Formats: sequence, structure tokens, C-alpha cells
Amino acid sequence: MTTHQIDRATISQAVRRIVVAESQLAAAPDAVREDEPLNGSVLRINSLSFVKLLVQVEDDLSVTLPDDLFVGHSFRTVADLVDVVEQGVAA
Amino acid sequence: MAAENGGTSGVVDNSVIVPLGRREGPTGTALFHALGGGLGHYLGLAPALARKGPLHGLRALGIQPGEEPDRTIAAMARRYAALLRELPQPPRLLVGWSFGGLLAWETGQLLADTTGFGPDVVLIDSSSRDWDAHDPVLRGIRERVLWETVAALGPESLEPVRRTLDAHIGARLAHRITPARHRSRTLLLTCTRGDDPEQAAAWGTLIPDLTVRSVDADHFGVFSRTTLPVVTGHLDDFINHSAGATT
Repeated sequence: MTTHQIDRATISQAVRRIVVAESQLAAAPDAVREDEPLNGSVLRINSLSFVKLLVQVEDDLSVTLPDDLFVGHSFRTVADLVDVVEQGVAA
Repeated sequence: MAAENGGTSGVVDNSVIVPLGRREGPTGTALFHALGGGLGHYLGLAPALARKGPLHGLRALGIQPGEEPDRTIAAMARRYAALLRELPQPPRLLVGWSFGGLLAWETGQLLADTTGFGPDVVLIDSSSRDWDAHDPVLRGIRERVLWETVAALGPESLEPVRRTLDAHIGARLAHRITPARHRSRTLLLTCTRGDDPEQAAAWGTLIPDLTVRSVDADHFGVFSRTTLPVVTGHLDDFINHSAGATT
């Protein structure tokens, strides 16, 4: 569905930037590790955040992802999200 | 913090309107929360709608700590209409699933009161029949919504979600749906395995210009991976046939 190839580092950076913003953290995206829990002492990502997240990833990466990319998935860490977005970009 | 919880006055609380997508486009859309106040059911629908124009979600007052939920549907509709009127590009499409469909409908009627022509409305498996407080189906829905919402928002949300959900159920039990006062287009998507097989006929008595399409799903499965493309396909057809709309 995407129009160009994007590497995992770029996807990870975009996802971390969004989860940091959604968690209302002052931290830089690079300060969040990929094994950081999405709902823990650092990040607070709820169901509303997920609704926003796919739209924001599309905007940030200038890609079109499958509508159902997040449907039926459960995400524990930042890496889980990055993995699924990477699959969506490659689809 | 808003003061309107069933009365007739109050300040606008703009924290309940959530920008979900900021792309430019001809079809701005508002998504309405379901029972319990969350927007998580729209996980698969939001990306498709966000590609058509600005997308906003209306979550319920009450699910955040310290908030008091609205206790009538009229109060919710007034609150949401006031918020949507304030947007730089007011939505031309209001979409709601289940209880959210009813909110979309009532809000659309209020918006049309000021312009004479309301936004298009999409009701997704939204029953218009009167509710019975003793109906075991209602008890089952309450339990399911409560635990799904708490699972999504975390255990600390149990008490605010329970209060919000019970406020919504009370509001729905007392509400009689407003017949169409204005000309507007309405799409009803019914689930073939939903709880109210008469909903198309019932809405048809209230809305003269009603388009009805069906989705082979049960009420809670309408946004599954299998049926999501069917839902978005019906929405695309409806939007593309709007007068003057281009997507």
C-alpha cells in the first residue's frame, strides 16, 4: 500500500515521536527504548491513542497503511508497534 | 470543566473533542463515542475517514478523573453541537456506532437547526427502539462495555467508566428519538446478526431520506478485519454520492 520503501529506523523514530507526544512526555523520542512498555511508568498509551496513532504514522511517513493494521492486535511495547507498522509499510 | 450535565446552560469543555486526523479534504467527519464514552471501536474506521478530511472524535465527559458525566442525551447533543460549530471546518459527516449513532443523529438535528440543512449522518447498528431497564440484553451489554472499556483504559478507569456508562444507560432509557426536522442524508448500516432486527423499519418512520445497507456481522463484530472493508465500502459509496462531494 505504501509508495516508497522506508527503513525500520525511520519507522521506529516516527512511532516513538508519536507515543512520546501521546504520553505528554517532555522527553526526546530517542530517550524511549523500543522495549519500553506502552502502558507503564514512562508511556501511557490508551485506546484513544491507538485510534490516533495509525493516522499520525501515515502522515509522518507519507504512506498509506491498511485500515485494519491495528485491528485484532495487542501491543505491549514500542517494538510491537514498530513491527506491525513495518509490516504494513512493506505490504 | 463543563457545568452542563443535564441542564440547559454551561460552558463548553473542549477536552471532549479530540483531533484524530488533520489532513485537508472536502469531508470533515466527527465520530461519536459509544456507551461508556470511549472511541476505541473506531480503530479501523478512523484511518479511512481521516484520508477524506479533518477527523475529530467526541469522547464522553465522565471517563477522566474528576469529570461528571452528562445525564441526558439532549445535554450531550447540545455539548457536541456547540463544539462542532466552533471548528474551522465544521464536519459534513457525523458517524456513530450503537449509542454513538443516536448521538450523531441528535447532534445533527441541532446543527441543522442553525443552518436548515444538517450534515450527513451514518448510523452503524444503532437501535432506535425504546429501552427496557429490565431487558437481560441490556444487562449483558452493560457488562461487556464495562469490561471492554476498562481493559482498554486500565483498571484505574473502572469507577469513572462505570459512572459514565450508567449515566449513558439512564439517559438512553429516558430518551425518545427526535424525528427528522430537516432535510439531510442518513445512512443506516444494520448488522445481520444484531440485537434489533427491526431497526431499519423503526428509523424509517423517523427519517424520510434513509439509506439502509447491511453488514454480515454481530453488533460487536462490525469493525472486525472481515467486515471492516464492507463498512468502509458502504461509507465510501455514501460519501461519494453526497451532493457536491469529491473524494
